[in-house]
Order: sequence, then C-alpha cells, then structure tokens
Amino acid sequence: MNPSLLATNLSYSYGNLEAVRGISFHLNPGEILGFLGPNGAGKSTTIKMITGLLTPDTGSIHLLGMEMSLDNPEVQARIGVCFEEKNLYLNMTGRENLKFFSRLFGLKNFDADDLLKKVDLANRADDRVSKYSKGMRQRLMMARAIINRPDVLFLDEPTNGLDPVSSRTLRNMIREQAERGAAVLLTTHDMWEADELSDRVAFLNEGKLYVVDTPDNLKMKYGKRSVKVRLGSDSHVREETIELAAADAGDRIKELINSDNVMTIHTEEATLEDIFIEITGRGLDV
Amino acid sequence: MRSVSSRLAITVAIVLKDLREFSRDRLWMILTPISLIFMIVIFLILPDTVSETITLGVYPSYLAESFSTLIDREEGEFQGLEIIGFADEDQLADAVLWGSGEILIGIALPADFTESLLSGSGDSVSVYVSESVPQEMRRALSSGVREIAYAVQAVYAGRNPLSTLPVALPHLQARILGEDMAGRQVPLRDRIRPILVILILLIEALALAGLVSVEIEHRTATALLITPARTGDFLTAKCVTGTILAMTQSFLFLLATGGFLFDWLIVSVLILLGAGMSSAVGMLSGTSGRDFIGTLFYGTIFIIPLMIPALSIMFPGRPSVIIRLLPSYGLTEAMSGVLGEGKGWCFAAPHIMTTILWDIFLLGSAFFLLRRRVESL
Repeated sequence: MNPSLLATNLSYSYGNLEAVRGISFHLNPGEILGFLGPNGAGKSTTIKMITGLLTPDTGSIHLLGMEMSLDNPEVQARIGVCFEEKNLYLNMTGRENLKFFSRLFGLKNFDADDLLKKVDLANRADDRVSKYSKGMRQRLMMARAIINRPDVLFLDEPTNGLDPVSSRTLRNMIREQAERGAAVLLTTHDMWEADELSDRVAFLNEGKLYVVDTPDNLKMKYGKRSVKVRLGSDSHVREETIELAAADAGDRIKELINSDNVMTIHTEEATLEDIFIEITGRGLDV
Repeated sequence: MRSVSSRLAITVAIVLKDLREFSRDRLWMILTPISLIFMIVIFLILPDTVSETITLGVYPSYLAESFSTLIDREEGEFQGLEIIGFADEDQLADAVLWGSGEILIGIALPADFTESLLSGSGDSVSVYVSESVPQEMRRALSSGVREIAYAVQAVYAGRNPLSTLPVALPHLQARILGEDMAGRQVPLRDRIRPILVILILLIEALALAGLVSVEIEHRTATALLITPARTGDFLTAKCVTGTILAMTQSFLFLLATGGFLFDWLIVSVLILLGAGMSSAVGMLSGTSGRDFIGTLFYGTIFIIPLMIPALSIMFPGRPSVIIRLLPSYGLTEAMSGVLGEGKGWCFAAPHIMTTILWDIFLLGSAFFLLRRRVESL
C-alpha cells in the first residue's frame, strides 16, 4: 500500500530554536496517527510543514504521491486541515463560512446544511460565528476541514478545551473520516484521546520523534502489566498490586481469590503517558 | 478526478466574501454613507459662482455718481469695481461692519470734499475697512483714495481725470503669466471637488485596511492558503475589493455633484487610478497594523501626505517641489484640471502617466509586503 503521507528527515528552525529535528514517518490511507507531545514539542510546526505553510529546512514531504508545496492546488484540493486556532470569519454565518470554502474547492452542489447537521450546528446555521461558543466554533472548524472529503486530514488539537459532548462529537467524526479511507494525522497532548482514536501514535518531544508504534505494542513493550486487588476486613480496607511478570504472581492471585476479603480486582496496564514519560523523560503536561 | 477551482473563480469568491464582510461591519456601514452625504452637502453649500467685482461703499451718495461716471468712462482701468452710495456715514460704517461681506471697504468723504480739494485745504477722509481685509490691501486703499481725489477733482471740473495729472501717465499693460482666468474663475465648489474625491478614495483605503488586518489578526488568511487558493489570488482579491469600494464611493459622489458632466471618460480613468492607489494604501496599512488602532495609525500616516497635494489646490501659486513629488500630485492636478476647469486629455495625459507609474510602484510594494506577511503567519 502506498502511504498517503511520507515525511522524510524534516527539520525546521525558528531562528536559533530548532523546532523540528530530522523527523521521518508515514501515514497510510484509513489510518489515524496520533502525534503526542507537550506544548512546544514541534507538532504544529510539523503540520505547517506538511500542509505547505512552512518550507522545511531539510527533508521532503510526499502527499498522495506528489511533492508538497504551497503552489500545488491539486494536493491542496485533497487535504483538510483543522487548526488549533479558530480562524473562522466571525462576521459571517456558519453556513456562509462553509459555502465560501466550498467555492474555493470548486465544489458543485455543495450542501452546507448536511454538513452542519453532522456537527450539530444545523439550528445555528444562520447565526454569525461571532455568536458561537468555543465548542461550536471548533465543530465548525471540523466541518470546514472535511468540506472537500479530504484524502488526508490534519487535525491540530481538535478537542482542546472542549466540553465532553463536543469532544465526543468530534471524535466520532474523526473515526468516520478514517473509516471512509482518509488518512488522519492527529496532534494532541491528550494521551487518553490519542489512545482511544489512534491506530498508531508518535511521541514527539523537543522536536525529536522518539517512537512510532501502535498503542498496544508500546504498552506491551514498555508498560508493566499488573493486577490491583482491593481487600476489606471489618473496617479496614487495603490495596495490593501484583506485578504479572513476577514468578509467584499466579499463586498470589489464587491465594487472594480464595480468601474472603476480596472486594474488587482490576487489571492495570500502563497508560501512554506513563510510556511517554519513560521514553522521553518528560510528561505531557501543558 | 476532482475539479480544481479556476483562479478567477477563487478570486471572485474571495472578493464576494470581502464585500459581505464589509457590509457586516457596523462601523463602516455607518461611516461610509455618512461621510458620503457629508461630502455631498459640503459641495452643495459652497458657492457655485465667483464674484470678480469689488464693491466700494461711498458717502456721500452724490459722489458715488461721480465715481460711477468715472468707472463708465474708464472701463478698462476700473473693470470689476462697483460703487454703492450711502446717505449716511454711519450706515456706511454699519454696512462694512455688519453687512453680508459684500462691502468690505467704504470711503466717507466730507460733504465739502470737492470744494476743499479745489481750494487745496485737504480735508480728512475716513476709510472703513473690514477686519478681514489684509494689511496690504489697506495700504493700497490709501493710494486709491488719493487717486480718487484726483479723479473726482477732474470729473467735477468736467475734465478727463487722466489728462489732468501734472505728469504724463505711463501706459500700463498687464501681462498675465500663465493662464488668464479673468472672467472664468473656478468657483470654490468646483475647486473643492477634487479634494473631496481624493478624501473619499483615501477613506475607503481605511476600510480595506480593516479587512486585510482582520485576515491577518484572525489568521483566516492561513485557512485560505491551505485550500486551492494561492497567495496571489488572495492579494488580487484584496486589490479588487479595495478598488470596488473606492470606485463606488467616488462614483456616487461625482454622480451626485455633476462630476460626470465633464469628460466622463477621463473622470472614470482618474477614479480608477485613484482607487488603485487607495487599494495600495489600504493593503499597506492593513499589513502594517496589528489591530484596528494600529491599522488606523498606519493608515493616517499614509493618508496625510497623500492629501497634501489636494489641499494645495486651495492656495494660489505653484506647489513646491516636495508636493509635486508626492504620489497623489498627478492625480490631484488632473482631477483639478478636468473637474474644475473642464480640461481634456492633452492636459490630463502626463498626469495620468505619472499616476499609473505611482500606482504600479505602490501596488507592487503592497503586494510584496502583504505576501511576506501572509506567508509568514
């Protein structure tokens, strides 16, 4: 399978600050690749390079088999971008925003209402965007990003700061896009979201790409599997964690189950954040 | 295979979007019609004729007849001088002081003026001068009173005043350097019309600057550039939007003030060139400013020098070299000549050429700087 996106040895500096240092990765059709990293890790700079807004100092980018540049309308017509900043036309309505962008893509018979319905904005279609809440604006941003049914979708912190309902709506939309075959590059510092959505995750820190793999593989490779048992006797409650890798783990679990004190048993697996800290030596806190 | 929008379709889409945004901006939607109406009202309340006659009040009134006889006889020398007689010296003083401005100068002669002149006793003469008459004019009046005394003396004696002088009067021949506008002076209304047109054009530059700075401040320009729209489409659209806004306003103004009664083709070309300059100023101001106040600040910095040639129309004499080097000088001169004096292509052509060169330079600079700004967002 030809990758939708192939980035090789990308570097970019803002003056003396090396924002991205020689990173390489690929993205396949229908795949969601989660770019995990704290603020300032180089995620947004990478997206700007890939979408042609920045020219890399070194390296090459091939999108849909074509070399990426800002002067390649054929590539631009097949990608969608949802920026972290809500760069919408505030004096125009939601419908007008979408119709305007549909004209830039040369879309015939574009149905803005259908798209607005998908992002739960149908009843606010004729309101100016300046009157939208943060969540509504973000959902409109998402609608704008998929207006042209892109083959490659770039999402920069799409659910950052959103309420749970808006976040879930956007996550569902991201999955739908991947299911129809779009390659999705998702940057986030929300490890839970990355774990839930991503087929593979990439750990980026201080401009360096540390690892790219599936969340399961990373957990198998770096995580410590364990079982947490909660025990209660009279008024006393205590917890015991049993490492599954330990030689006597099986016997100890049997012993506890046979006792009458077991209240709950939970399997514990390493989170992506644990693994990120282990690999990069730094947390994902913003 | 997906269809990719043509460059023209993309540019048109951006222009329509800009015009829609402009129509939603409450500030400009209030400011634009108000300023247009204000300019039209200013134009309409200004006088549409030029009075080339100086009115002189004279007491006593019977001497006014002698003055008039003198004027009728020496039409060439006293052309443009009108005499009004007053029966009372106080009335004359009141007319100069409180009148409508028609009589700025009054001469009150003693009742026995001619007798005292003939007897050589030299009685005193009161000259009433309005406060608005400059000092130089007052001195000239003193000389004038002496001349009048001679003339009255001669007229009273039934002789030609010019032949009764003790010396032979040299033959004066006025040589007008430049164009003699006597009898066809440009009314104030027509002189101010080019100023108002330039002002309207430059005000619309601020409207475009607002649209540009919002695209930069909200980074919507970035959203455009990751679509098939190119930076060139964005810049062209902004230029077209600015030109449409500026042309529409100035067109409406000239329509309301009869500007198209002159050579409409030259007037249209001048508006187009002015609108192009306005667009360049708008794009430069929008590129420089980071917010509304910043845009207004930079806009004013550009607009004030460009208004100077227009303001210089109001003052007599040839503008200084510095003024003639300003980008709007050619445009102002051409507008002034065409809209004020009804001149044609021969007069306007060199100014049009200069303005085209300035437009190319200013628009080129605006495109270069705005491109850099947008692509570095």
